Amino acid sequence: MRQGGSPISVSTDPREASAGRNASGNLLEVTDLKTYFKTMDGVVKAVDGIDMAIAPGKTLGVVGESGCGKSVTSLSIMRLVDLPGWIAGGQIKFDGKDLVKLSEEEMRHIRGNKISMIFQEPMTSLNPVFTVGNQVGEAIRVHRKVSKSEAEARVVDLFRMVGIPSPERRVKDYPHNMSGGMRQRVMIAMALALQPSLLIADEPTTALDVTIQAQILELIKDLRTKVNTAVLLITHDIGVVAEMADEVIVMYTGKVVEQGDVMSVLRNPKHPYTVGLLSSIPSLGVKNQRLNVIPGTVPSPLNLPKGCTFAPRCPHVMGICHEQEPPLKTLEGGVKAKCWLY
Amino acid sequence: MQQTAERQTTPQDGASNEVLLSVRELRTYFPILGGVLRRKVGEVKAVDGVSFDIKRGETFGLVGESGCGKTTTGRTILRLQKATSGEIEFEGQNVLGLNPSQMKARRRDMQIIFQDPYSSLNPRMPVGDIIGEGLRVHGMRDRREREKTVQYFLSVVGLRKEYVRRYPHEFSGGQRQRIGVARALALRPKFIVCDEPVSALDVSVQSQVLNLLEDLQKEFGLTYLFIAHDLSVVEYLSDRVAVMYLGKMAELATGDDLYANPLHPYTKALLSAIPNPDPLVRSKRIVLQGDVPSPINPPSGCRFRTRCPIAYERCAAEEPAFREVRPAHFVACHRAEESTVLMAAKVASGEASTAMPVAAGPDA
Amino acid sequence: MAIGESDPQSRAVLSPFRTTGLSPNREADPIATRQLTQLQLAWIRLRRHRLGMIGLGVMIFLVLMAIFAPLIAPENIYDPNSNDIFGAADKAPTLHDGLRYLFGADNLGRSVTSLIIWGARYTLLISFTATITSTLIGVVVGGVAGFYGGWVDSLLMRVVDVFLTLPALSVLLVAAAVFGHGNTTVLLVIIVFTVLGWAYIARLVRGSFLSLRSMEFTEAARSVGVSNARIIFRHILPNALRPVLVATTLGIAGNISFEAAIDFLGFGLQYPDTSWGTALAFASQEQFRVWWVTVWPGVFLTITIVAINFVGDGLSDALDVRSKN
Repeated sequence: MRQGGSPISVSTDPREASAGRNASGNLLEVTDLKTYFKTMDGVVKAVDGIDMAIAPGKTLGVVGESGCGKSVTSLSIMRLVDLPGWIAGGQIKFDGKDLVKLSEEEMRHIRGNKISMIFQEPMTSLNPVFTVGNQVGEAIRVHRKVSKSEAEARVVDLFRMVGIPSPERRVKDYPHNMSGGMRQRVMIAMALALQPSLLIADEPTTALDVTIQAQILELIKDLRTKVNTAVLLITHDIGVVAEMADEVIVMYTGKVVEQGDVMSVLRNPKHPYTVGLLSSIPSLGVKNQRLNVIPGTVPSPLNLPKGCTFAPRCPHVMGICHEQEPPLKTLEGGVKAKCWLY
Repeated sequence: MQQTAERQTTPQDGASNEVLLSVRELRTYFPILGGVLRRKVGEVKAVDGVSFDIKRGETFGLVGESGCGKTTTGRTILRLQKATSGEIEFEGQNVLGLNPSQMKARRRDMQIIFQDPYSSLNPRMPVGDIIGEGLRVHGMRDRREREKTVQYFLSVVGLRKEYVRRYPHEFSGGQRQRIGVARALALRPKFIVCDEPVSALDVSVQSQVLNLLEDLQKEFGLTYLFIAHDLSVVEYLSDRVAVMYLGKMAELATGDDLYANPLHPYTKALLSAIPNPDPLVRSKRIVLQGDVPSPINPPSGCRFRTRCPIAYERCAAEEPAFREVRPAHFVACHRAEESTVLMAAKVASGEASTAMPVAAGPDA
Repeated sequence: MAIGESDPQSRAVLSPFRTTGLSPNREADPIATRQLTQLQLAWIRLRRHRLGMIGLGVMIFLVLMAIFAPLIAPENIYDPNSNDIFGAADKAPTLHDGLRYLFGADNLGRSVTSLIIWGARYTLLISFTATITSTLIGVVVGGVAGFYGGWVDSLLMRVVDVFLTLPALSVLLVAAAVFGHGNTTVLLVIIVFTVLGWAYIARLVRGSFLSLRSMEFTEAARSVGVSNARIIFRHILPNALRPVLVATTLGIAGNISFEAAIDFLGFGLQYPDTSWGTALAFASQEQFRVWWVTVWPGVFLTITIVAINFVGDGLSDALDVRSKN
């Protein structure tokens, strides 16, 4: 324990982070977002009309299996969807501005500055030929008018803040000199360098071991309370969501199937997909009890079933499910589910 | 000094007391070559003196974080990796002493399921050839007969018989993993090393494969060595679980016992680090400091001591023996008897539950 | 591969085997299809590659042209009596004499058409033979180094390094002086090109073998008791073939232009041996007075190289297992 007290020594003014809001008090409001990809075999609707909102200092978890569109959602918010993909419709209101309508130039000002992102693989996200200190410093200097030495000092502070030991020395390291957990810390330091009001974490701990994951999750939690950053946490690990998020969105084939506060959704899931997902995880201490299985596989995005896309795998399927797509209905308690059962 | 699990006698469901595989003081080192002449300049001690027994019909779980040597242990047992020293006995036969033709015959009994459903299937071979290759090299020359057998095993793992003619890229990850299972089964082995068989799969598919593995075990009387980093998966499936840290065994007990009464501080931390999907279950988490030290130059004494919240002088000076602290519960910790109390005190005082700051590990 | 797979990291995966994630499954139709071999599949895919097929067509045409040169060329350029040295010297291209003077004639009255048709023989013979032999040597050396590793690998790779550093022109000149009495013959060029070329292929193959050897499917094969020979021929080689074939086609193109270059510089084939390169060189001695003697062989060189690159492109796609069949 080298430094007691608050590790966040380079604390920022929380008011700054919560300054810009949309009228409703939310920092980010996504409405009817659609992101499509053109492929040789047709158009893939990777994200097909989703809504979400995050208030400052809150964490929204997005869960779903691969191909459900959760990562595309985050890339769309960052406006990082490249051809053959494009944002086909909807609004991404951030700080009162619609990100979809911003020019690339304006977007560059927001990326890394107001919204930053951490990715799953901290190795490929860092440039191997520059020192980590150099890269984080560069990120600061792109957006802020500071001298090189000021930036360097700031980097050392940031490294200390994210728990990198002997930061004065580690800033001179190259990415390959660092372990996976340390690189992820560097990425977090870079993401937080400019005190963004929104942090998008796309599977931030998936590549890490559990004990290192625990460190990183604690770190994100700690930063969230102290810097008041809103977090959009994208993961396939329901345990991580349960631990970190205030609200959760469950996605399936590009659509939101269930949405609500973590306690209600994970304790009392409504949508059969969420129910299936939760009961198919082996949990510690529960033995000799057969795992629940969601039969079949996720349908091809090019050939989605008519009506409810989960219908072919659903244990409660009814006639209407194959005919008509259910709406995302608000149930009592505020949870929303996209299912004809309700 | 190194005691083994031999004396354990609690029969598990389905598991007999007959030892099928016994591993003694297994060491697997990888040389580090350097310089112009590519001389050996060091060694990665991936597996460094591991002993355990696996009984016929049981599922033996092996957990640990990346680099702890669990995968190398599995591969060394199958002689996919050369052992540096130690003994591996399978049905009383010393596997490491077999000549190539004897080994080839032995391979029928010992199979492996790999982690990655993509790189484990040759993209240029149709599924029928992938599954049937083992049959072919073990003497089933008749193409028709082979195809029939392959079709049988495809149906066993829940795939359509027609898939024999298809290529791996036409399948999803879960289906590909089933093909890998069928390949391992085709030779009717007695023992299968499951090397992280579900960690590359999505949650809903994961449970399908886990259930399949359980069914197959019953149907074919298989013995599994189940290797994974995910303690909840291992604990779910295994009769006994061994925890590895930096090439050594840290703890070995029945799954229930290990979960209910972990004695090694590392096991405790590992268990508490797993995020629980139930938002109401919120125990105080033990957050370990720093990273796993390098296996090239492991710490003296107990290898876990650099991250251990309750380490004291003796841990640096003396390597703890892997001893039976409770019946059928083995731990390599000097303070195993008092670890529960000591750790609880540390967590309560908040010393072991904060992520930061990180103590400088050897890699720092 | 469909797009559903949108994790940012999947874009960075260059290996032919994806390592993580699930593909949005293509639920296979239940009808058992006829089992197609890899070769048949590749041919089906190649046939759908338009540029590749165009390139292949051009190459087949050129090879046939070279083989049947004595039958189709208006003149035999190696026969001093067949060209009209007085009547046709420096004759400009004309449509009036059919094929013969379509591309004009040089100052010896040899029709450029004949030069091109005959020149194709040595140009293609040298580049194809040299590239194919270097590929064979390279695959064997690289395969042995990559599969066995250890000191075998170290030794072979040092040899490869030496060959990679050989200065091409010096080797050619020394070889000509030592073995050809100062003359560069066709055989000599082929041998020199082989000596200079195999090391690239060896290095490429070694890399593929090295990574394929540690792929899990090779381990899986070993774990069921498959022999080394079968692992090499059934598991590693088929997967290493794609980069090798692509490198080979590009090697042919490279050798064609390099051969033309050494001819042009005067270190290559000697009169009367004619390739497209010597035709170009001959024209340069005339200080490009007559443009057509320079231009037409150059045009054919370019077309050939482009066609070969198309074929390489087509092969690369055709041999990609993941592309749709």
